Amino acid sequence: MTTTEAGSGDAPVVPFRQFLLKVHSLCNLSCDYCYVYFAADQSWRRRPGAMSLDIVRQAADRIAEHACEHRLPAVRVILHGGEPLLVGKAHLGELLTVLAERLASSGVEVHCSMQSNGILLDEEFLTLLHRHRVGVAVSLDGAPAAHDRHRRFAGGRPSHARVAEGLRLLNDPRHRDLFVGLLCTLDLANDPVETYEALLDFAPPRVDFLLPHGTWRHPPPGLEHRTIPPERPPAGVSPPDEPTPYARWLGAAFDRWFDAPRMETRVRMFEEVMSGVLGGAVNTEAFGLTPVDLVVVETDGTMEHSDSLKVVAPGAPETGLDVFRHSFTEALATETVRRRQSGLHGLAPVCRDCALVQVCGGGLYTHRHHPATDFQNPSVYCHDLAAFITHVNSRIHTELAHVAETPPEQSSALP
Amino acid sequence: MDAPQNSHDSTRLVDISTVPTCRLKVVARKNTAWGHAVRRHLQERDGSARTIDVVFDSAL
Ligand code: SF4
Repeated sequence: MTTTEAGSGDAPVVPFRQFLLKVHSLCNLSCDYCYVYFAADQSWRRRPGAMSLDIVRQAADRIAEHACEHRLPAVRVILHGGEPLLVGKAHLGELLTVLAERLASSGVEVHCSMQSNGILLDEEFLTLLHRHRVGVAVSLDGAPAAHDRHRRFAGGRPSHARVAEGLRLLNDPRHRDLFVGLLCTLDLANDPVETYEALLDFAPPRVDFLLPHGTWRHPPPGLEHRTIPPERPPAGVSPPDEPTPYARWLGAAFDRWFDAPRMETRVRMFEEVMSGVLGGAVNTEAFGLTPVDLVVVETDGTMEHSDSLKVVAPGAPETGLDVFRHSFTEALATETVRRRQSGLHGLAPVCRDCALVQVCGGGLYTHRHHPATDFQNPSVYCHDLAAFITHVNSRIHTELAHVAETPPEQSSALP
Repeated sequence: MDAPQNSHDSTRLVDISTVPTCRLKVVARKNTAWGHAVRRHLQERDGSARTIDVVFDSAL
């Protein structure tokens, strides 16, 4: 459902369909790569710990108003943090009841999920989440050594064992239907195949890989030399002196997943890149040209853009709006949302000229930032994204050639 | 990358429309990553796939 409205520029306005509620601003882990606490933006210091019921009520009413105004049949509400389970059982129960009650009157279908570090997951929390039909996604970076490289408690204690305990409970047949998937932040120091297989040990219905955050000013680990955005799109093959370690990592994990004799789990990043290569939709924030449709509500009720912008500069995610004084439709008119809904038009000229742009989309918005040229650049991962997409394209090319050459009778006889 | 080397231009994306649908349907029946990708492609092509939201990077 899109509408073209005054003040939106040329791009059609796409209503928000995803509302990420920061229900708690603190975390019980102290992961050294976390953009909330260790990035340029330190706004968490001045925010209340938990989102109060007043703010939940107001946010829910604004969601209902937005759904009504744009005639949305369904919305997604994502409970996020910090660590959302830190709100405690009583507050979580009240918060979910308020959300359900306020949204029920609007008639909109609500899909609710939570992104957790898994540490506090216990029987009581899961029963509560069950009652309110809240799906749970857990952050896990691989096997114990890989996971504990970054994901530790404040005192330095590793967290894998505790997360594994929570995941075993989530995998219990009584709770398994709540398990949404695992979110894994990639680290070049971890082996890609071992990492993927360690995630498989928990039988996740879905996996997603995240690239560590970085910008042209603060390039990600292993790409410290990348400080100047390219003037031309990569021509499929990166310059021989340009290392693409993230493409190699993702390529190895992709091959392990793609070559499995049966589908072991869904991997969002891989599926979306394949879909893009085949000319279809790319439904992930990190790739493609689909307009952004997510807004963040902080614990104090302020509306923000994607959290990852915290790595860019203090205040970078701010919209200047809040759920008490503004509607979500007003947030759709901010310059950042307009740019992020304008597809090809919102990209740097280098990306617009790139043969891979329909799949890549210039990469994650945050990763394009350079202090001099703002977001008008290719991603700091440009060469890696190009090399990875080219790899997937090449694998699909081979498969398609095989399909085209194999007579249907013969291919249907294959296992 | 250790991608399989072949003669096609690596910057040009594949063109699945040249492959007969009946052959794609055979692949789409398989429970593999490739089978799922082809099934999704066929569903999107005939308009039967449901719209999926853009997924926020840190919320599955
Ligand atoms: S960031 Fe992506 S779209 Fe832009 S030039 Fe690089 S590969 Fe092409």
